[in-house]
Amino acid sequence: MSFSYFIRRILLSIPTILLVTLIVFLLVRLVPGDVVDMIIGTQNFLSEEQILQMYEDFGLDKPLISQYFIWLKSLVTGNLGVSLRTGEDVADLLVQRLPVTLELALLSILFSIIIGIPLGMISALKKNTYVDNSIKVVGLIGLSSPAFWIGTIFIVLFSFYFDNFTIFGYVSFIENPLKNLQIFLLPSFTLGLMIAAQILRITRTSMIDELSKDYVKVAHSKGLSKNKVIYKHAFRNALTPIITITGIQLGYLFGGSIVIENMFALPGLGRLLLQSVNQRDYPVIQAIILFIVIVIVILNLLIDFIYTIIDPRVNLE
Amino acid sequence: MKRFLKNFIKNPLNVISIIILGIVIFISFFPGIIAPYDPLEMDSQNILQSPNFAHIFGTDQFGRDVFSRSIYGIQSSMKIALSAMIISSVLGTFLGLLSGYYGGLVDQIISRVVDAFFAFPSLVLALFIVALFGATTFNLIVAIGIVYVPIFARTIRGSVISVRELTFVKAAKIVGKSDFKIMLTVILPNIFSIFIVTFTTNFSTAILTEASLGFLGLGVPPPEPTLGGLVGQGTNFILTAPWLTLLPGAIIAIIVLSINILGDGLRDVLDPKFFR
Repeated sequence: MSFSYFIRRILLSIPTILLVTLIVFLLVRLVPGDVVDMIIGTQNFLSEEQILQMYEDFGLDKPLISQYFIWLKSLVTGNLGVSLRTGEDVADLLVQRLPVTLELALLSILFSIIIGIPLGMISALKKNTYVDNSIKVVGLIGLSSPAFWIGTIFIVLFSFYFDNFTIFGYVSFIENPLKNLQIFLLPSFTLGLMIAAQILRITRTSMIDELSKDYVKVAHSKGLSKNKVIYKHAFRNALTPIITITGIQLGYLFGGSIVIENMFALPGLGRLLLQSVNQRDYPVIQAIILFIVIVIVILNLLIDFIYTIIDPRVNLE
Repeated sequence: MKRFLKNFIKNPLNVISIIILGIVIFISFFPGIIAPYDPLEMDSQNILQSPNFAHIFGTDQFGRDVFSRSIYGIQSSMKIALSAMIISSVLGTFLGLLSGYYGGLVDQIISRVVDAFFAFPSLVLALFIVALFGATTFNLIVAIGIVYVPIFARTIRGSVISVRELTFVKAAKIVGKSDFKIMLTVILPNIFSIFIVTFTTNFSTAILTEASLGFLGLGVPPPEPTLGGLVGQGTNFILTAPWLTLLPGAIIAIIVLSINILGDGLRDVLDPKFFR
C-alpha cells in the first residue's frame, strides 16, 4: 500500500466534491426568480431584518461567481442556514436525522450481503443447472421490482399474520433496542433485497470468472480440497468486483432510503428531504442533497482503499 | 443477423418479454382501446371495491376504475421514461464519443463533470431537479434525462477508447475522413451493441426512477394517473384496500422485468466477448 496513492486519491476527489457543490448551486440559481424570493415564498414569519440579512448572506448584489464562493465559504464553516419552517439550524437537523438513515443503511447492506453473496456463490458453483436458473430468475425479479412494491407486500403480509408487529412508528435504539430492531427489520430487509439482487448477479459472474482461471486448476491438481480452492482462492479474488458493486449500490441505498423511510414512517434524512420538498424548505433540501452526495464520494474513496487491502494486485497507478 | 435472431428466440424468456413489451407499447399508443372506463371518472356508488368482474383491479377511494387508471398510467410512465432515455442516450453518447475519441483535455473536462453528476444517486438528482422546477411531464423528462447522461457518457467513452486505436479507425483517418464522420460512421456502428445494451438496462431503471418519484408524490400531479403515483396514493389504504398498491406495483415490476430479461438476452447474443 502506498501512502502517496491515498493522498493523491483524496486530492482527486476534491474537484469532484467542488463540482458537486457547483452543480447544486447552479441548479438552485436556475430556478426562475431570485433565491431569496423563492426561499421566502409564502413564509411570513421572517422579519424585515432577517430578509435583509439573507440578501447579504447570499450576496445577491454580487456576480454569480462570487455568490458561489460566499456560499461555499459558509458551507465549509458548517453554516448550512436555517430551516424556513421551524427556524432550526439545518446542520443540527441533519445530525438529528442521520442516525436513523445510517442504521437503515447498515442493516440493509448487512441483509444484502447475507442474502446476495451465498446465493451468488451457489449459483456460480451450480452453473447452468436448475438451481442456478431459479436463483437467476429470483435475482432478476429482485432487480426489477420497485422497492415500494416489495415493501407494500411485506406490510400487507405482516399486518395480516402478526398482531404484535409494529410496522409504522419509530423507537430509538437507546430507548428500546429490541423494539428498535423489530421496527427496522422490514424496512432494511426490503431495501436489502433490492441490493442483494445486484450483489447476487455480480457474485455469480465474478465467481464463474475466477473458477475458470488457470490458478484454480493448478490448485485443484496440486491436491487442495475443493472447499479450500473455492473459499480461500477463488472467492477472495472474486471479492473485488463484488465490493465495487456494493460501492455503486451506496447511491441506490440513499435513493432507496428516501422511498423506504417515507413508506415506513422512519424519521431519517429521506423523510426529512421529502417533507422539505413538500414545504419548499430549500435550505434543508439543498443541505441534504449535498450531504448525501459528499458522503457517497467519501465512501467510494474508502472502498477504493479497501480494495488495495483485500486485493494487492490492484494497480495503484 | 439471422443467427442473432435464432439465438435470441432460443430462450423462451426472451420471447415472452418481447411479447409483453409489445403489449406495453400497444397500450402506450392506444390506452383507450384497452381501458374499460374513463380513468378520471368518479363513481361515488362504487368506492374502494375489491377486484370483481366489473372492475378487475377494483376501484379507489373515488370509485375510479384502478385497471383503467393503470392502463393510462402505463402510457404516462412509458412516455416519460422513453423520452428521458432518448435525451440521455443522445447527449451521453455524444459526450462519450468526444471524450473517448479526443482524449486529453477534452476528456479530462468531460470526465470530471460526468464524475460529479455520477456521484448523485439517480433518484436523489431527479428528485432535486423536480423539487426545484416543479413536477410537470416536461420537467420529469428533463430531470430523468439528465440523470442518466453520465452512465451513457462513461460506457460509450470506455468502448470508444477500446476501438480508437484499431486499424479500421486509423485507416479512416488516413483516407482523410473528418473526425466527426469517423465518430458517427466508423466508431458508432462498432460500439452499437454496447449502446443497445446500455439503453435497455438503463431504460428499466429509468422506469423505476419515474415510478419512485410518482410514489413519493413528485410525479405527474394528480388526477392524471401514473403507475408510481397509483401505488403512492394507494398506500393510505394499504390495510383496507391493498389492491390499490399491489396491482399497479405488479405492473411496474412486470414491465421492468421484461426489459431486464430483454437486456440480458441482448447482452448474451450481441456480444458474448464484451459482456459476460
